[in-house]
Amino acid sequence: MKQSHHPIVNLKKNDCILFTDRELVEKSIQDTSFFACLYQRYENKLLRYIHHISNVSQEEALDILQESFIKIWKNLNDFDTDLSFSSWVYRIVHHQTISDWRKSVSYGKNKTVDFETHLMHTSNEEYTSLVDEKEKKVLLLINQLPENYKAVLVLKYFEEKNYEEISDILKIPEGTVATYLNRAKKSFEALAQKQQITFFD
Amino acid sequence: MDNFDKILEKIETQNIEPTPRWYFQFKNLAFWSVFLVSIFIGSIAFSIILYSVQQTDFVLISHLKHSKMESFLVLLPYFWLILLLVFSLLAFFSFKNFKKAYKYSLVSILSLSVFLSIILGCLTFISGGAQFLERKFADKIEIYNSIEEKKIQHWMQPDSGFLAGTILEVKIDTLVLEDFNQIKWQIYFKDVFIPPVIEITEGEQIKIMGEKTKEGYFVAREIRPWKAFGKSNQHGRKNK
Repeated sequence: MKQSHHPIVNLKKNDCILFTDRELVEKSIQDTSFFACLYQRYENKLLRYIHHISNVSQEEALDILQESFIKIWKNLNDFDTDLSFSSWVYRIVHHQTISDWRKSVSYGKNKTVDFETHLMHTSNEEYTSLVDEKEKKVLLLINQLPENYKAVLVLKYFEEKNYEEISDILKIPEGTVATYLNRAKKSFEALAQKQQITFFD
Repeated sequence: MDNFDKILEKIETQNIEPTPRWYFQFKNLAFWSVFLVSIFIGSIAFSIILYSVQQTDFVLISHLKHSKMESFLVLLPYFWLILLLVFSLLAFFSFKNFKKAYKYSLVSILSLSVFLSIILGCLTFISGGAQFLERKFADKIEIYNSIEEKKIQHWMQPDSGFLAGTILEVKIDTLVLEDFNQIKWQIYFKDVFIPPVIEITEGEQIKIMGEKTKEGYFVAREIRPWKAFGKSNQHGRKNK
């Protein structure tokens, strides 16, 4: 069955809320209007997540999101219904972000900016407005942690995911999630102490 | 142009279609098949290792002239050990590609692969499958030295004090033995250790440790059954 390659052609924008993620996945294969619903539903959350785990600019974050959604499109038939769609898209976006981040570091392109500068000057107003002073401090510290620790802390405390969801997103056992989280909190506290950063007035 | 329009444009211009469901199903089936075949081959390897250990006389080590470690290393069934290792690893890597594999730790996955091979291997060994398969393997592959052949090589060294064959005749303190090269030997076996599992009677296959006194004559120090485990001295009896 040939799909329409135009967004929200067969579907009004507000109609998206009528469908669950799973229904949208099934319908997306036949009609990209439904795929647009999925994109709209997750765009902001995923952009925020990309920013939280990497130092990329808003433009680069949008590129990562584009690449991720093309992967999601290609792999729609591989979506495991035992898994929540949210965990599946977070997993794809996580891998895409880390992979792009590593490439930019290993090729010495270093397009990324210092995290503090990034937080101060990012053009994504919507994003920066959400980041209050306390959150900035936390993110500054989290950004200095190793990749795995950073990911579990962001998923747990910014994305409010439970252990099972984090396990599904990062593809690690739940026991390992607990271990990483425990170590990440300790490293975070040690860093905060070392840099004399406090979170209470 | 918003970001989703760009995604759609890319999908259209590059004509990107969702990968068909059968491709993913085939991939999953392939990993499952590799996993099951690896476990199966691993279990055969393990059963033949058990058979090999059963057939190998590790007691020989203390009687051999080489160092104990060297002799022990010579007696190990390397081919089957390597096969077990390779297929356990293959089972491990194919399991790792299962959709839910990440829920298990690497140690649990590796343990499961080895455990399944061991359980199935024990069952194959107990049912006699190991001996059958090992013989079939030796028949089909010329360069492969069967466990039985290796065993014969070890025990057909009368000058080094090892002799094996079939009993042709039994007298009071001596017996006539035809070795695996169809050479007849007069065996003197007074005051010799004989495990209870063997009967010194015509047609019995035995292996003997002792000393060659002259061509065709051998003084036994210890007699063991050819086909089963040798037993320790305290469980044996003396021929007086």
